[in-house]
Amino acid sequence: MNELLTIFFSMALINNFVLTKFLGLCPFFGVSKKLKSALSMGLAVIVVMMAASLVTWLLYYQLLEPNGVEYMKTVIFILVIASLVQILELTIRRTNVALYNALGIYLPLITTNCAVLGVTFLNVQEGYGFAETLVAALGAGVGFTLVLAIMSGIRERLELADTPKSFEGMPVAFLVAMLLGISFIAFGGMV
Amino acid sequence: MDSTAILIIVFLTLVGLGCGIAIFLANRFLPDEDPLLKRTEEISQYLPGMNCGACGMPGCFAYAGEVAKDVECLDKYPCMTLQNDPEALKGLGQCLGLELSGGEKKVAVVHCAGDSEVLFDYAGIDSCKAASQISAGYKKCPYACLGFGDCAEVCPVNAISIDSEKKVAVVDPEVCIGCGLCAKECPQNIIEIIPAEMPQFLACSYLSRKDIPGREKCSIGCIHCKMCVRASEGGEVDWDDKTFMPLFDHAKLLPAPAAIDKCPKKVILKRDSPRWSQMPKKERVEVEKPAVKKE
Amino acid sequence: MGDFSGNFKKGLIKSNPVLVLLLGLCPTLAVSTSLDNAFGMTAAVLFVLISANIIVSVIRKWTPDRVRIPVFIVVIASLVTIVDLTIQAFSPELSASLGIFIPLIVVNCIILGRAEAFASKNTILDSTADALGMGFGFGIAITIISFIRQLLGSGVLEAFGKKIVEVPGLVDNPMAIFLLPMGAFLVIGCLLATLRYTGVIANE
Repeated sequence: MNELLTIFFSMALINNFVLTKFLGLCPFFGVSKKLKSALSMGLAVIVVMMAASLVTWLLYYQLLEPNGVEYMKTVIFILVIASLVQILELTIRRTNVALYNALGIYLPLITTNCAVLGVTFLNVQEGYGFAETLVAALGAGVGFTLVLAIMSGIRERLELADTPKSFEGMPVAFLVAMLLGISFIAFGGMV
Repeated sequence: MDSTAILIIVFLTLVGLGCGIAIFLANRFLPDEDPLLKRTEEISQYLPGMNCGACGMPGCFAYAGEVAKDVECLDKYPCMTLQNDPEALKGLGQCLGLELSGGEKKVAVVHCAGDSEVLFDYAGIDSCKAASQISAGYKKCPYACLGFGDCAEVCPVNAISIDSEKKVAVVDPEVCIGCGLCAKECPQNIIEIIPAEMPQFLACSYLSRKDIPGREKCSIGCIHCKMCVRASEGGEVDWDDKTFMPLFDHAKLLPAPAAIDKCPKKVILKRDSPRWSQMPKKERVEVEKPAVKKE
Repeated sequence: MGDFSGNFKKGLIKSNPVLVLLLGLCPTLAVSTSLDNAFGMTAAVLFVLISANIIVSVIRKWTPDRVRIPVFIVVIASLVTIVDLTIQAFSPELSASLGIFIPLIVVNCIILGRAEAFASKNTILDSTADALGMGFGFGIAITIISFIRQLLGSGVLEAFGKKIVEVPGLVDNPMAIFLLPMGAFLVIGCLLATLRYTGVIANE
């Protein structure tokens, strides 16, 4: 149990996927400035991460490793993730039109989200077991959502602030991310 | 062929098939797509996408959903930006298979010329809503426009500007689409949505027949003398017995040049040349607002 | 026929994928701690970008529209696997320092984006020009960032194992923040602002 908690907090806070591992930067900076869309996007990413980790873990240890073709993981994993995102998009479109409209273009973009593919690679790299894989994926997703929510809230306020012309938009967002990263270093004392 | 190569091909095929089957099953067993969804998406292409809320619906996509369900919605809850855009109307008409024509063009007018003196120095929150709570405003006329720009903030097309000297709101009739958001917003209730063809309007809202002690109307306020009614021979101007002010029929839209001429206070203004727009353009202060962005 | 040099040049600065289109930020910021890393990553991305653009341009007439994204992804993923295995074989140190960012090239928005937006609609020659331009643009961006980060973060500039520059004061007291993740954000933020201010990049 202790180990699972360590993995969770490590993935979510200490080695935060966005601020420390540089995964998932594109949606992080491109995210809509509304908090609600950010939270919906984060939730979708958590779902995809957990499902993808589950399926890829099974495929890796049952199919690829016993036959010595571990290098196939690049192709196989991305195929699995693309299909899962497609199924998620179909599900949301059929069941909750308002949510589908709110997410808009960001849903298919989860496929190219380095964080999702990154967490599946990390799982096999660290040699996690089944429960550990799920917890790691959950932690990564929660960490991603947390930082996404914080960033979208800050971007909302930044819209009204008086930034120098050259810094408007992306440069100041990068600086905000730097400050966020520095503050997250504090979590290193947790373990 | 090398056994590894065969293995790779077999695995790729298997995984590809598996993914394909999973998607197929999902497609089959999920609840059916809302049949109106595609139509809603088609319709929402022609809507402005500003989500201003003037139509009464929570956003343009919701409006498109209502129109998809019931086309009467276009008349019952008109989208004023759409009504003023003939190209979008044509496109939407083609999409729905109907002949669509814009409704009557409407604009907003502010029933105040802004000449009232100031009663006290107001140092509260810079908002009409706040200023109107403190003894009906800081101007001598209790019905005056307070000029803090609450109406200008909600205008989706930036049609309202504030004259900073007189502290009064001015609506640009060329830009205004008549959506009515400013009329709902004004705490003094002096903005009215009238047909764009209406040739004149009364630039005063002082409803009381006698001066309220300490709260007199401004130098050009309506004095309820009924000269306008007497001057208009063709019955263009009626009298409203409740407010003691001239009433212009919005259905008949008759011009009343005699009334404009004979009014002793010159408070009936021609629709297309309000007195303050005769000032040179640079004296009118534009309220700075970021342009409306499409999400 | 198209404009070979035009397509090539636009990817260098005007439509630089990292600095203007803001694609492919993950590898740019993550591996730009040293010039060796930067060159290695650029080489890998160039190879995948050019090959992917060429292949996609060749098969574009035969791919059905509905499955084109999965097809492109499989093509790119296969190319990335080739690059990954090659780097592991010929340069294990590079493989170790680039880490998971080599296989992550498959979801690099630059490659999928150019395949989808350009190569699937243009001839082979145009697609090659575009790929070269975008790849070198990416290379320019990541090299500049690595240059700044390595110089300020460790005081020495090294490439291919040889020391190029050594700043005496900085070697003893390097500004370590530049090698940390937050330093990367700082560098690219200020770099973008400077480029916009001096007019090199359009001020969006």
